[in-house]
Amino acid sequence: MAEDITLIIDGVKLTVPEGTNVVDAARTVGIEIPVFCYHPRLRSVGMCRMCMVAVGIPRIDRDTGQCLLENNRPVISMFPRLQTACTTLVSPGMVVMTSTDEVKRAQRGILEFLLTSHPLDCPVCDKGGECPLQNLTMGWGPGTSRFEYHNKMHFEKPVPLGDLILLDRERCILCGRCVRFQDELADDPVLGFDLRGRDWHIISKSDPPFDSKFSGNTTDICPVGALTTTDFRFRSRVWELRSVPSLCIHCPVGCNVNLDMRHREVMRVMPRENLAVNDIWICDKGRFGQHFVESSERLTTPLMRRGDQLVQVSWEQAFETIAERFVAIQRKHGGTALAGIAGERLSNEDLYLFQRLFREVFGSNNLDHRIGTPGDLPDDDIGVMLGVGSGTSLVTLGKGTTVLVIGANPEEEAPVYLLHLHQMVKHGGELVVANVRPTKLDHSATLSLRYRPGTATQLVRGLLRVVLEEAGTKHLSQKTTGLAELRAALNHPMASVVSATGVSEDDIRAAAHTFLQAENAVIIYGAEAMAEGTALSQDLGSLALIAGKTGKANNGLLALLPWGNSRGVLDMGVRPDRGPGYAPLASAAKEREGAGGRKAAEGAVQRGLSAREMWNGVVEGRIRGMYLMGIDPASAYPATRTALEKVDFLVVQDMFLTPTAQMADVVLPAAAFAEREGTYTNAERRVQRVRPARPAPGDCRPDWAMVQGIAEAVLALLKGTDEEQGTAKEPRKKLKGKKREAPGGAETATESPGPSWGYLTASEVASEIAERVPGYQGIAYTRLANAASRGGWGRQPNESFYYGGTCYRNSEGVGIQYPAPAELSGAGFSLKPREVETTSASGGDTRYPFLVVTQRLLYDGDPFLRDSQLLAHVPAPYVAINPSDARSLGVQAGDRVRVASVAGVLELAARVSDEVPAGCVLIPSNLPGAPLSMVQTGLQTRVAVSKVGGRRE
Amino acid sequence: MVLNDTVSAPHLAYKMDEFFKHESCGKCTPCREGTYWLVKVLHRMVEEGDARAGDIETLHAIYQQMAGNCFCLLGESAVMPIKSALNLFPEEFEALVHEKDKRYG
Ligand code: SF4
Ligand code: SF4
Ligand code: SF4
Ligand code: FES
Repeated sequence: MAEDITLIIDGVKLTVPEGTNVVDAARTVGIEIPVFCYHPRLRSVGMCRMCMVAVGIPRIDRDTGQCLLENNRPVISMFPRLQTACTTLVSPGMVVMTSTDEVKRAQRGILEFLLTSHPLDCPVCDKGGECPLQNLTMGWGPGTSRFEYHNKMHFEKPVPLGDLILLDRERCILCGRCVRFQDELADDPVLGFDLRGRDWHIISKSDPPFDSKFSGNTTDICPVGALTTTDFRFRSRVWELRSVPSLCIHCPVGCNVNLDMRHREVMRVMPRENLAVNDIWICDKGRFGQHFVESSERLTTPLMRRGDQLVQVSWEQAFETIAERFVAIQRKHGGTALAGIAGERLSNEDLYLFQRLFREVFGSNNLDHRIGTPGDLPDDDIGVMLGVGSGTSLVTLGKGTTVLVIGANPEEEAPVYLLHLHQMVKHGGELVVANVRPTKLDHSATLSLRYRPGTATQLVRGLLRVVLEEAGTKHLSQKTTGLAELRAALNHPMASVVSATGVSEDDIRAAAHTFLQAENAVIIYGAEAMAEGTALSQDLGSLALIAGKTGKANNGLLALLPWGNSRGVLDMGVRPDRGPGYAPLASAAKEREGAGGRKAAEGAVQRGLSAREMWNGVVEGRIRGMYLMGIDPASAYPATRTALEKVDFLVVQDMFLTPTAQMADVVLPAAAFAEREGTYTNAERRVQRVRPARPAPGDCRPDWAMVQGIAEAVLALLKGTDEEQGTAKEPRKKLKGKKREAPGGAETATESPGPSWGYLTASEVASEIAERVPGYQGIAYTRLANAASRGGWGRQPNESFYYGGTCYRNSEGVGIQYPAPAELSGAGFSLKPREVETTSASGGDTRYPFLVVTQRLLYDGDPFLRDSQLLAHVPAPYVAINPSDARSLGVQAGDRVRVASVAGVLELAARVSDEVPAGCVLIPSNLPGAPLSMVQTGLQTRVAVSKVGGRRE
Repeated sequence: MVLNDTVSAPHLAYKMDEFFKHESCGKCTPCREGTYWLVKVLHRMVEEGDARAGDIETLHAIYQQMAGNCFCLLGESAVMPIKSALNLFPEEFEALVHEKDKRYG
């Protein structure tokens, strides 16, 4: 722990931790020292000289080593020159004066100097209105300039630094924040300075230019309007904007954003500070990838199939038809002939009601959120059980922390976490990276382990062995079982781990030690790890548990699931084998009974079909009706088209007329996240809220409301067999406790509905989730708007002096992290290892000599990238081959190659890269057109590769 | 550096600060902008014969705003020539201003 240091600034006595600089210290007592180049997240460089202050330190008596005193007060000797506060660290007894005449003169002088180069085109400058240079000039600057030349700096402007960011050289004050951000936090050192003196200027050094997924952040921290985005430039004056707090739903980080609106238009997306989530950053997908909301191709009305055509219909018609058809199927074939798949960027409310509809109304557990490809990842449960403790904040980690990143590429899977990890290393934390191929994290890693594809589980068992030897098991709770089985699984010599994984014993031991000895330790695992099957995550859980790194803040597992609400999907139980809150189906059904439902129908306690089984089910005639909400299998897994064509009745609910929707019988138009209320749960189990920023186009409704529309229509129909229809639409009664009355006696084979429907708002659904979903207790919708307790680290008034005028303040809610089961006393955990799945269809088959390794890309075939400039960054489908393999195949970069497995054949452009291990080919999982799904045979796929035809280009 | 007494102080300051302007790395504001501005004014006074009434005061202000505020010694060194010239040979600067005044009445 850093020691506390007491000093005096402008006569105010204050105490701050050792290592604090004078700017930050002053801010803790509300004293503002103007800065340009200093930024609290970046190294201090003392370049702009704006933060000059007068500094003195106590004079020390050489003989006694004590402070010299005069009238009982320490004698202060002032430094002869002013000091830059941003580079001056506090020291005991220091005296700082921030507004002497000398200081004021110096600050005024610096501002005058800066303005000699500055164009002052405020009226046309995007930064105008939130510009620190404007603000500081008002507060500290001279009224007029004596620089009477008309030859200020003149450059061609703007110069593109990349396709997203423009540089206005005239406005740049050369503070270097952008360069340091790219170097230090993004670790994409793509910007630099060129020439010197007054010709000194910012350039992009990379090819393609400004090649970074974080480029937009530089425009936020640029203290002037020198960096602007092509996305926002000249679109609006900032004071015309209305900021609506929201979230980015593109990845599991769940960055807090403000949607800056003008009327109905999202003019720009800005980060909203949340120290527990995204700090003050967002990635470029979050910033530039939200234009789908305003696409002119949005659906606006319900559509229904009439012959070959989808025609507009009213909501009543749509719901009635859906109800009739679903009920008919249910009566004839049973509720289990119905199946539903929901997307992972829908809110918890949508998902919760979706599974209610299936489980309670249809009596079916045929629910999934996956698309049903052979490579579908197993659901991640351990990441919740032993998830990072509540209060975890990756942003604040540093010395004493070890983070193990295994089988993950945060840059592509959860970009903002990459920034946090870099910052953690900067602050003295240890980063152990284990992967089959290099990722950007290796650069900052303390230790990089490169294991052979498919051997991650063995590697982790190696780590487990060391940790078990050293940590013992005495500290494990009584409820921990399976130790004997674990020991048995570890019972082979280290040498075999080494030879299987290709990682040296020294490295394995070093990694295990770093992990074990850390005060705090987090394990981050991603798609590539999950593709090794659940054996790996199980063992990662055991590793954390035995090392004692679970159940407390900044310790535990962090799974990088694919999308913004992938955790919520699992929490809400949109899966065939578990109910809400990971409850086994039987207890989930019991809970529903308790909540007012009737005895569960048989279908409700039997494991349902997974997406993969559903497609087969359709082909075999077991599944007759499907409801797809916010998911587009026809694009993401083209092989599903046969099933989609065959299914008797298909309802698709989406924002767009996707290829799947084009095959539907009824299409329901969904409101976008920016047009509605709802909650999302991020990778760290933080439940956060979105708010409507704009009216939904046309007749669009939030997804939960459409699920409810269907539920009510179905219930009305079922009830209508006894009495006249219509009663199910009574307004929902406020229900307290668990006693709820089920509306009407639905005399069908299915379980009768539990709590009534008729929710009027998303928050009513959220309250029910808080009541009924294990883990979500106490997550009251209104509390999600609390921000008071987590406003950052001693934030001071007037943020603009820190952050470049851009308001990051979060006064609209930082969300609530629900506790991981491991934090609650009484939680048991089994260490029993799971079978290592060897899913490779033709392992060892010489006809298919290559193993496919895969990765997720941030800029991929995601339909949400519609209308975004990022589309230009989405690569054409490709397969990457190791140079030595390429040579023996006679393949050169750009060649077309044939990739064949037992499942199918594919033609792709080849890339040659030594990042791909020999004997493997890399095909990203979510490229446009989903090529990978065409050859995949399971979690691991073996393929043959050959060159076709001549070279392209 | 070898000089005889025919070299005018403003000219000397101008030449020396031009050197510093050229050498300035550009990293800190006072040096980058200060040397540029100094040279700008001196160039006009010395080379263009266009010295104005406020120039002397401006020159004083510029070096004062630089002095003690630069990141490294280069900026501080750039202060010395103009500061000494202004303070030791004020009459030579005033002469430049008067000359011009005379010329244009
Ligand atoms: S950067 Fe600031 S001071 Fe400069 S033109 Fe833009 S708004 Fe005006
Ligand atoms: S572009 Fe902006 S952030 Fe970068 S050096 Fe210039 S003023 Fe600073
Ligand atoms: S890191 Fe993820 S949540 Fe954050 S802005 Fe990027 S895509 Fe969105
Ligand atoms: S020198 Fe301190 S803020 Fe720039």
